[in-house]
Amino acid sequence: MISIKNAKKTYRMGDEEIKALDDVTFDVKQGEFIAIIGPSGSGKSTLLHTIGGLDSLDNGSITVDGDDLAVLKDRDLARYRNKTVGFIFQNFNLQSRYTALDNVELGLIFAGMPKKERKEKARAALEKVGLADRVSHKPTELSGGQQQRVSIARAMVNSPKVILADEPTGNLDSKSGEKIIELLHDLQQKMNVTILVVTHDDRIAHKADRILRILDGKIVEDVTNGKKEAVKEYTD
Amino acid sequence: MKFIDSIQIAFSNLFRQKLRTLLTIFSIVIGATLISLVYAVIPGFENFLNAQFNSMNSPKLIEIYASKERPGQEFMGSIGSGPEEYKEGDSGSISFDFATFKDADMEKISQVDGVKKVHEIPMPTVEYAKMEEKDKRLKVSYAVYLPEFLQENLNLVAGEKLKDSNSGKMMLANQFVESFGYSNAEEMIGKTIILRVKQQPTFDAVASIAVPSSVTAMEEKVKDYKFEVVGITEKTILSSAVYLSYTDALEMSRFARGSDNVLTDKDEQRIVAWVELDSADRADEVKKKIEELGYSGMTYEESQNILNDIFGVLTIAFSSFGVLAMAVSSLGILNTLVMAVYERTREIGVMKAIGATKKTVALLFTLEAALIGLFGGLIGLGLGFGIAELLNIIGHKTVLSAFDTLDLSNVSSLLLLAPGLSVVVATIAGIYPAIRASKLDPVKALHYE
Repeated sequence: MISIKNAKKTYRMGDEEIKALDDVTFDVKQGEFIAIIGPSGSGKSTLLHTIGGLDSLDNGSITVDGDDLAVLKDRDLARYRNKTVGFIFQNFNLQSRYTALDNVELGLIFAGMPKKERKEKARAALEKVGLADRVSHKPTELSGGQQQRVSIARAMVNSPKVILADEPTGNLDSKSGEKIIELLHDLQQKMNVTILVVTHDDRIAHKADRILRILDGKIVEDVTNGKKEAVKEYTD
Repeated sequence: MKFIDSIQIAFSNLFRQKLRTLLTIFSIVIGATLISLVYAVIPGFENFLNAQFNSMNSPKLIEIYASKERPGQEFMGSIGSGPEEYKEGDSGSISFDFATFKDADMEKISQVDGVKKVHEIPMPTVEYAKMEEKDKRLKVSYAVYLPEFLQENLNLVAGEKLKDSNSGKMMLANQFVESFGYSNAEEMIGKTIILRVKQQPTFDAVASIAVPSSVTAMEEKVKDYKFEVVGITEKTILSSAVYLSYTDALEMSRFARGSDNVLTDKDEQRIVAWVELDSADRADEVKKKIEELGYSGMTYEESQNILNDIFGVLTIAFSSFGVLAMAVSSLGILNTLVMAVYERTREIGVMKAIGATKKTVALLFTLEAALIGLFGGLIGLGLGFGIAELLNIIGHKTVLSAFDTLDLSNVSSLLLLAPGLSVVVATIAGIYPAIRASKLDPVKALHYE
């Protein structure tokens, strides 16, 4: 489903060069639930952004569902972000003046879907995350957990193959976080969606099929189904 | 993304900062109002004066002057064009030395190919007009011989037009009807009007008497001329004019000036005449020939151009204030939208993350700018036209009451200029913020605080 080869990405911070991705190579199977863990600044988010087509690599390649992201032009990249992947953010990133329904609908508007169809789809997505009775609420009228569920609905409304979540439980209390993890797990089970979650949350790591630990832009640990596997490259 | 959805989103974005948006719209309203006002009022004036101008004019007319230079042309020519080279015989300053026509000149001009007739224009000074059956006396501002060919575009409210051979008959300006106490113009047709002419000897007449002291001793002489009213014109700016046949007008002129020299070789005021052409198409050609004979002339088209030029200059001058105001307000729009880009940076990041192209983001901001322009322009159009309408109503109740056909709130497609221009100006102002928004790095935008 996802194939990453020799991915390299360097940032400059003043005089300092930061290797956000340092020759990262790994594959992801359709329907896998992967937790990406590691300390702050280790390159987890960069990995997520590059897979999501929001950021580009300096070197190497990322292929998702047959699309080589490096060769996609703005229009195709936008369509890729619209159809193939769905983003979930730590701070939800909902538009405060829009209702839950409007927020979920937005991506479908960019896809050029007719009004009636997209309203139905958005409503169905909100139903799936358990917010059928909250469609016309604005984000400020919803709890944190509910807001994150709206953003999950937004991420999956266009039936993406991959969901990319950046610390989805980071801003939530443990009970709400629990529900979000359940929901993500549920999506994976029922819809066979591939899920990559950047997290500090042990509970998510436990639910995951596979855990990638990143340090200084390298994958230092790749654990599948609880078993530790040898990692090809180690830190210097 | 569907265009209708883009408009809807741009529209709703517009009113997130209501006060700021309204102030920005207001800034463009000022310019749009000015421009709309100009394009409502000035064409109204222009149409009115053109209609007036045409009501007693004809494309078959060339006004000719006995002098080589058209009187006043030298003065007009000295504006803006810089000094001309001096030629032997030129006078240094602007001269008002008008040559006069002689019978031989008239003969020569009437022989020019394309000339149907040369009309000389006796314009007697009339003391007053009076109905035979009434005592009321009314002032006459303008009594003139009006040849048939100049009556082609003249509309009458009653009676018929004055024929060149209609000695003893007259046409009157519409305003006489009411002033004489009639409610209907038809009632005046066939009635008799007396025009009193008072003798006011001019210098050549006085000189011919040769005894200067006799001027003061001269008896005041008056003469009454009787006319049958054959036609009443529609309302024109010549609100107290009467129109006469050539023979009557000449006779009255001679009496008024106390001299039989009027329109003879001895007449020192015989400086202008009207040439009637066979066909309007030949105006330029005939004018050229007449000029080659040593006279000057102005065709119908030239005189109309002068009028149009004046209005063209007025329109440009006044509307440039509006354009200037719009240019200034474009800075306000630019500022508003640049601020909006800052405020919505995170949102732009989200939009990109969920599938908006650069073009979509740019379009949304450009549309927002265009909508500011559209609203500003439409409000400006409404205000400008409203003010024009108000001027129209107040004007016609006061100073313009005599001019029914003068419409200061003139409706034409030119009125679309203000909203059109404000949309263009606003859209141009929106280009930079739109490009800026579309180029935002989505990762940085998503983490923008």
